[in-house]
Amino acid sequence: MSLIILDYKYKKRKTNKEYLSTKADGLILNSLEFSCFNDGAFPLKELLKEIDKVHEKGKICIVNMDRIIEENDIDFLIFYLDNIKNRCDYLIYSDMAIYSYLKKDYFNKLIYDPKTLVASKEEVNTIKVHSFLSNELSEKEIKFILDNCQTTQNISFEVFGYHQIMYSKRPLLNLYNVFIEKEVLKSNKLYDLKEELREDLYKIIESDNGTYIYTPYVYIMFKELKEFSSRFKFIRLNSTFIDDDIMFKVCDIYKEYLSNYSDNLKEEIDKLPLRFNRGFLDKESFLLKGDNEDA
Amino acid sequence: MLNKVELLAPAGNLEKLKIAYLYGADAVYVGGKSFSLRARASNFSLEDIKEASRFAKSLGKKLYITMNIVPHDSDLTGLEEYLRALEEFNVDGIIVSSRYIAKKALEVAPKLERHLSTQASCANSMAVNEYFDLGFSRVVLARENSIESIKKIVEKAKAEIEVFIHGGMCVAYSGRCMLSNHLTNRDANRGGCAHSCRWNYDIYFHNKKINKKEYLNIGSKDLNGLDFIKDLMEAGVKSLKIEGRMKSIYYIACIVRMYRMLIDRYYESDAPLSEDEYQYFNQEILKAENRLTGCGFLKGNISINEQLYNTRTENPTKDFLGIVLDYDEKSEMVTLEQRNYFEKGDEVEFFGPSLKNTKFKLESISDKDNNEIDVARHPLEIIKFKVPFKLNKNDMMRKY
Repeated sequence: MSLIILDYKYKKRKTNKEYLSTKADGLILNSLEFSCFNDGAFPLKELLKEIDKVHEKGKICIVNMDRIIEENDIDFLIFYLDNIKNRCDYLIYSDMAIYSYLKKDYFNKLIYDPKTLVASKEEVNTIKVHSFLSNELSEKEIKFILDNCQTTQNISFEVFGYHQIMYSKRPLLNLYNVFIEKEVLKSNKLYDLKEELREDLYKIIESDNGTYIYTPYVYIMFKELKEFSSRFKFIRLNSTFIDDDIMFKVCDIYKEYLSNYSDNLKEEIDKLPLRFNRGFLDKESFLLKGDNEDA
Repeated sequence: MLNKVELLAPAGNLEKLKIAYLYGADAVYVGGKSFSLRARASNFSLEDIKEASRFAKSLGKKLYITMNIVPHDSDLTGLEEYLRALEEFNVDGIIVSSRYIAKKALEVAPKLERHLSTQASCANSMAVNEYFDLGFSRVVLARENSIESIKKIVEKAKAEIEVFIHGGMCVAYSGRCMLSNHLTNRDANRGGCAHSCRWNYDIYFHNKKINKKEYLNIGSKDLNGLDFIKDLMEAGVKSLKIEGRMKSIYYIACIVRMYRMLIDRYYESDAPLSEDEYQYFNQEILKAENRLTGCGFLKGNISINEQLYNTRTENPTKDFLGIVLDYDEKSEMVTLEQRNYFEKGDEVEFFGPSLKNTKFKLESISDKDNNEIDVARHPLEIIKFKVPFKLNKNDMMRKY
């Protein structure tokens, strides 16, 4: 059965005891220096202290370092990895620099999360390392991967939360301020982005590492877990931009669902004050093929 | 003398491919009808690829096939046969982001070089060397790298390094943008990018609209690497890549020819460009560009000069008037295929792979039956007129 892992939000440089007390099997500590996370990430010094506290509670500790690594980051990256590699249980990465450094002695701690790039059973079988599947897959496609890949024990999935759909190195909000010659948008502040002809409000935030856009809804996979939970190693509940109290309820509901698969529990989720959507679970995105009619 | 570098050009069909080679590309990359992004870029059938490869080999040049989709399982049908065919046709390499496609290529078509696509957003030497160990002989770096980073990466890299120097830019790390999927259901990683980053957006805070007059635009200007070519050559970058498989033959001819001349200029002398030289190269780019350009991340951090704001980004140029089909030296008569409207009395400019920009006034023009006419208004119409200097097939005529 899947283990629940929850993004641990670190606020005001204090241990968030409520997260340590949740029913999650593991907590994801987002690296301030090396993750894309925008909603309470840990600087290294605090992260190291917090790892011990997570372990004291008997929980799995996963460090998230999922941003793109640049050449100038390399020396600090190695220092950073040397500090955490023996301390954390797992490490989420998207950049091959991290894989390169840890593959020899810490292969079993690595979890690959390139957000979009793992979308077939053949890719899973090829990369071999424990991976998160892309969230832009249909239920049918996920089932096919789980039924046919050789390494089902090494697959995890983000089942709940606002899902990151764009990651740019550009400070897009601050550049807009420069363009209109007025400071109306701030870094590390969450805004909604609305395309002029559409109604959805996509979440957008700029941090020191770039600008991120998230789904306008909370992605949710729930009832499918009755079938899939024996195949996913971890299911991730992403707490980005969601109030702690709600996340704790969500965590409780998922934990209970994994123990009894009671359909009534979905109603509990639906009562939460969030806009839910199943993303691509019920539809498939297009592969465009064929001739071009452009000149 | 500076390092030899490959000038790598895009092509959306056989005509564009031949123009790219003739105008100075050392190598061309094209997409097949399967496994390639830019799905609308007139992708090549296997027969086209066979002919393209034959043409490339006849010139001693290289051909790469883009297979850079992030595949779902249903996309992989026919992969082995496709790879075998590419090898059989003497294609030089494939550009891929999927580790599975690369692995399968190594198994069934080992002569194909495997180049890692920019979709993998590779931005450091450790990652480059890891991909090299996984069988990639070349890595196309993320377009987010500065010239300083590129220099450091090349120094440590085991793989050849390829860098984009001109053309379209993603606002996001390539491969890390799902805007198109979510706004239009078209998968950007499978050839369907709707360029949603170039659309107009309003921005809200707690349901209150913040922008007043100006939309929040997040799109990027195209890349123009003119200022960085010498540095890239000095750094030891193996391949300089032009983006734009969907661009016209005129664009490809102008841009490839300009970079060919610039690279050759640096082969002859590594002295900095004079002001006149710089202006000349810059003007040549402007003659072809229909979109605004900036230097991307090459100089370091992005400024508003690299961003698009409240601008309609496509302004199709009508500068391209025709392409030379034939020239008879004895009669000095050129036969030209019309591409845009022109008329008797217009001042035009001819240029070509071995022809410097040469101004000319159209004193008299005739149709294919030698009947004198005043205007050439029909696309692809055959037009004839006398020109007192030698032209070659595939030279082009544009507005002066």
